[in-house]
Parts: sequence; C-alpha cells; structure tokens
Amino acid sequence: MNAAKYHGHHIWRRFRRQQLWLQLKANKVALISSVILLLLTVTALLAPWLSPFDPSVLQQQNIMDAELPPAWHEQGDSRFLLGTDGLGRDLLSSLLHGIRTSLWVGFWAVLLQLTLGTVLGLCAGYFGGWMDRLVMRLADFQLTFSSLMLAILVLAITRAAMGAHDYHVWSPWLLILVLGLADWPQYARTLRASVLAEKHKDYVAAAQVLGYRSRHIMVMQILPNTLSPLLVIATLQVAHVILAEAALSFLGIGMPYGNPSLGGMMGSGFEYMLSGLWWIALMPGIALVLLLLSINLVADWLRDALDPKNIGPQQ
Amino acid sequence: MSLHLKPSTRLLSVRDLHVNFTSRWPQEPNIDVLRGVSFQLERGERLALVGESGAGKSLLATSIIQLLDSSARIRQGSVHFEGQDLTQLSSKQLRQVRGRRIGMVFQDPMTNLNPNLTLEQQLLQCILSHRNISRAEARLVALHKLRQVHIPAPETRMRQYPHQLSAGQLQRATIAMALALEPALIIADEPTSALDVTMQAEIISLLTHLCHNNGVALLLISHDLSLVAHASDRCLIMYAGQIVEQGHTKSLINDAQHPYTQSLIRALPQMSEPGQSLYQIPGQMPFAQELGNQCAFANRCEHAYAACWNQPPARTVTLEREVSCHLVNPATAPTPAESEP
Repeated sequence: MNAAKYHGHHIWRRFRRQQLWLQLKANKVALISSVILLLLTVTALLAPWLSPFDPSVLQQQNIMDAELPPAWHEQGDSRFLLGTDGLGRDLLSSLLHGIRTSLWVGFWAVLLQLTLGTVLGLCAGYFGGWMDRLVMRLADFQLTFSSLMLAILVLAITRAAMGAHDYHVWSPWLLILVLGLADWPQYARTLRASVLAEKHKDYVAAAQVLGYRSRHIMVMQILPNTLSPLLVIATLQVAHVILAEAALSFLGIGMPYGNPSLGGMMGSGFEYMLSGLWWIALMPGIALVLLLLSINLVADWLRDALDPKNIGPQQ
Repeated sequence: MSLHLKPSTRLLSVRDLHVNFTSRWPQEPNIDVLRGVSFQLERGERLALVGESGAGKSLLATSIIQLLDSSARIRQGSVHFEGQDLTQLSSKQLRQVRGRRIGMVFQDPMTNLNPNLTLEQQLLQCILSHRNISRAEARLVALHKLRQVHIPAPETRMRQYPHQLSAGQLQRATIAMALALEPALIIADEPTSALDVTMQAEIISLLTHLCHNNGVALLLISHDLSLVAHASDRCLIMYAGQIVEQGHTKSLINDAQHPYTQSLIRALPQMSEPGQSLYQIPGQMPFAQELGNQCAFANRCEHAYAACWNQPPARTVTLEREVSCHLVNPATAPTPAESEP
C-alpha cells in the first residue's frame, strides 16, 4: 500500500554514502576507464558545440580539402586536427558526432532490450506455468532469427515503403526500435534462470509471509539479487548494438549519410585503407575500441562493487 | 484455566485440517500428509508444537498462513483466525493477514533475510508496506524494535547487510521484523535450529518474553522437547500428520500418556545416566501412503496390541488433556490378558 514511499534507489543510496566513490578511487583500472567513458560521453553530448565543423552542412565542405592526413603529419592542415575524409569533411567533427550517434543508439536500444527482457524474464521465472512456457517459446522463436538479419529485413522493407527522404528522418529511431526489440531473449533467459534459483530461497518465502504483493517481491526482493548477470549482458549488448549499428551503416541501411556514425565512417574509410589513407578508418576504430572497452571495464567494476559481500564491515 | 476463558479470547482455531499432496501421476492416489489436525490457540498463549522430522510441523505452519506449495492442497477443515476462515480468503485479504496479523520467524536467519538489502531497507519495507506512517516514524519503530531484541548499536547495525551480522544477531533482527508490525500471532518454525547451543536458550527466552510483554501469541515449532519445556504454556505432540497428545506443558512432561510422548521424553539425553547408551525410539515414522486402518505409531509402540492394528485411535479428551491412543481410551483399553506381551 505504502511501499512506493520506499523506492529510493539502491545504487544511488550507496553512492550517497560515498562507498562507491571510495571503491572507485581504490580501483585504478575502473577509475581510468570511467574517466574515459565520462569524457567520451561529455564530448558526445557537446559534439554540436565542440566540433569545428558541422558534418551535415554541405557548404562547409570543400573537395579541395579531401584526403588530408592528421595535423601532425607533414602534409597535414592545422584546420583539420585528425585529417579529412574522401569528401573533404573534417574527421574530428565527424568523429564527435559519430560517438554521439553510437552512444545514443546503444543507450536507447539497450534500455529497450533490458526493459523488455527483464519484465518478461522476471514474470516467466516467478509465475512459471503457462506464462513461463509462452515467454520461453517466444524467446526461442526470436532467437532463431539473427538480430542483424531481422534488422536488415525490417530496415530494407521500411526503406522501400517510406522512400529515401522519410526513411532518413526516421531511421535512427527505427534502428533503435529494431535493435532494441530483437535481442530481448538473452536477458529474459538469463533472468529467468536466476529467478528460478532465487525464488526458492528462504528470503522470498519470508517476503511472502510478510504479506508483500508479487510485484514487490519480484522487483524489490528478487531483482536486486539477479542484477549482476543482467548488468554483464547489458554492457556486452551496448557493444553489440554499437557494432550492429556500425555493420548496418557499413551496409548502407543504418544511419543516413548526413548523420555520421562510427560504423558508417569506418565503412567509408575502408575503401581508402589500401590506398594509404589509414586515418579515415583508424580514427573511428580507435574511438569505438575506447568506448567499448571503457564501458565493459566500468560495468565489470560496477558489478563487483554493487555486490554487498564485497564491502567490508563499515566501522 | 481454559474453563474461565471467554470465547472472544480465542485467536486461532484449526479444525480437522487435512492437507494432501497431489500426485503427479494420475493413477497414484493423493496422500494426506496432515490427517485431521485440530487445536486452538488463545490470545497471548505460548503453544509449542513438537514432533520429529517429517511429522508435518512446518506443513501445518504453512497451511495456517496459506502459503502451501503448489502441489499441496487443503482437502478438508478450516483455519479460523480472528473470526475469519483463512482457507476462504482471497489472496488480497490474505496479504492483510500475513505479516500484519501473523508474523513468522524461520529456521535459518542467514538465508531468510535478503542478502542484497540492508537491515534498514528490509525493516522499513516491512513496516511501510503495512502501516500508513512516514519513513521517519517507521525508522523510529524499527530502531525501537531492534533495541527490544537487544541488538547493540542498532543505528550502526541497521545500515549493514545481512552478511555483516552474526547468526544470533540476524535471528534477533528477524524477530524484530516479525514484531514490528505488532501481529497477534507469531509462528516460529524451529527458530534456533541453525544457531549454536549457547544462543538457543537466549533466543527462545527473548522470543517468549517479547511475545508475553506485547501480548502476542506464539506458536513455537521444534523437534526438541527440552527446549520448549520452559518456553510454552501448552504443548502439542505431533506424529505422522496427527496431533497425538496435547495438554499443559508441565503436566504433559510430568505425566505423558501417549506412548510416543513417553518415548520422546525418555529419548532426551539428560534422562540417561552417564556412560549409558541413549534411548532411541526403534523403527521409523511410516510413510503417509503406508498408513492403513491402524494407529500410525503401532509399529514402533512397545504397548501395541490387537486394537492398534485394526483401527485408528479415537481422541480421548480428559479435563486438560487430549490423547489419541487406544490405551488411554476406556472403551478400547486392553483387557489385562491382552496387555500381556
């Protein structure tokens, strides 16, 4: 009845008590990777203001500036810190916007997957019976499609149906939707397995005896104990979604041309690779590796840090 | 004492409760595991339920609060609590009874608290989910209850996770949690089995005192007769899904009438001389499906005679005692010739 009053979130309460911060300071790898992640996130958020050029404004491009190497190179141009691509676009500006796109797609698609998979997996594991069978068969069905294949199918059809212009307006959202809906079974299956193990533990029985409603037991009692595998999958999925977006953009059905993404940039840089223009593909590649590595390292640390068994006595 | 009590003091009344487990195979019969359990509990009374493993003690507890396993079913009988038949309530109505009116303390304190939430979070969740008070007030209630169960430095302890506390402290905390909602009945299912011996007496006396002081009735489930001897007003002896003897604890221990109760008392270690081997009841409790039309204890009973194998014993009610045994029932008691071995 009144449980809503008690919904201050767990992670935030821990952070407020400075335990997380102290643990972060003690772990150098986690500290460095969270700083990198934070920097990448901030630059991505501020990309429109930070970047020297706007990649979507064609008037700022000059074909005469095409294929310039990075500024430190002897043939480089000081206007283009990381060089330019084959169309004379500033690589740094594209990179900042590309990180922004990749993070944006990765974040929302994973949030969608996570929500869907968590709700379905929790219900399947906790209620069992026909609900369990239905959800798991749906998951099996979904898993028979490769998510990338599904994305190609849906994106190609909508593109044909909408026409190129409308498609470019909607494609970022379509991409999030398709990538978000395609990968829920992994979360649902893992969570179901954890819930099956947790729900026969005594604390769940104790919670039932205390007269909590099922929703409360599922969300407030069982879910916190099954969070770590979910966290691992979610971070791996951020990487997976960013890569899928990169692959789709590489294939030409992901992000529209005016909207640079890391995958699209690597895709276009790939053509120049063999002719010695290494920077066009390398720069977004480095950014992608940094992004994924820092996300995974931070998540790995977070999983350990959130396990209460890992904090010592508090005195 | 029971003669002078007004009807309104009756808190819990279990009548002829049969619980069976539905078999997975259609051709197999369903087996009654609780076979006609009846007893009453007055407000504020401390009642002990004693029996060996598999007698159905915990099953009785879970069928009182209607949290039976999905394969178990109440086939017959009623559980009246504060004027309501719990077997007839909807799950929504039951939630108002569980925790709020009936609290429960489990066997192993290390596993019945959520390992991922602090004590404070769990206590506050428990209080706020049932009572319409503010967080600050709930916190005061929680602190007060933790002090009542003698947890040192409750302010600090509240912020800790279960693994940071000792088993004894955790069991105190679960008692505090059960008491925090001011229920009318606390069911303690072997509350000290997981604790070491020095802790047992302390926890039991804490539990009984707190229940007594707060006017809470206690149903104390145990396999240890000596443990409950001092901690209960009345005692139920359970065997193979039935209550074989019930009465006031003192008189029951001093003057046990059912052969099973007598054997239980003889089996207590302190009843043996040093160096002598401990007494044990021969044989095993029969499986529920093996029980035919006979006394469930007949195969282990020293006094069993013809009648014991032919019909289940009826309940003999004397002034303060109920015994289910042919020996005690004047109608079926053996003639001197039959009782000769």
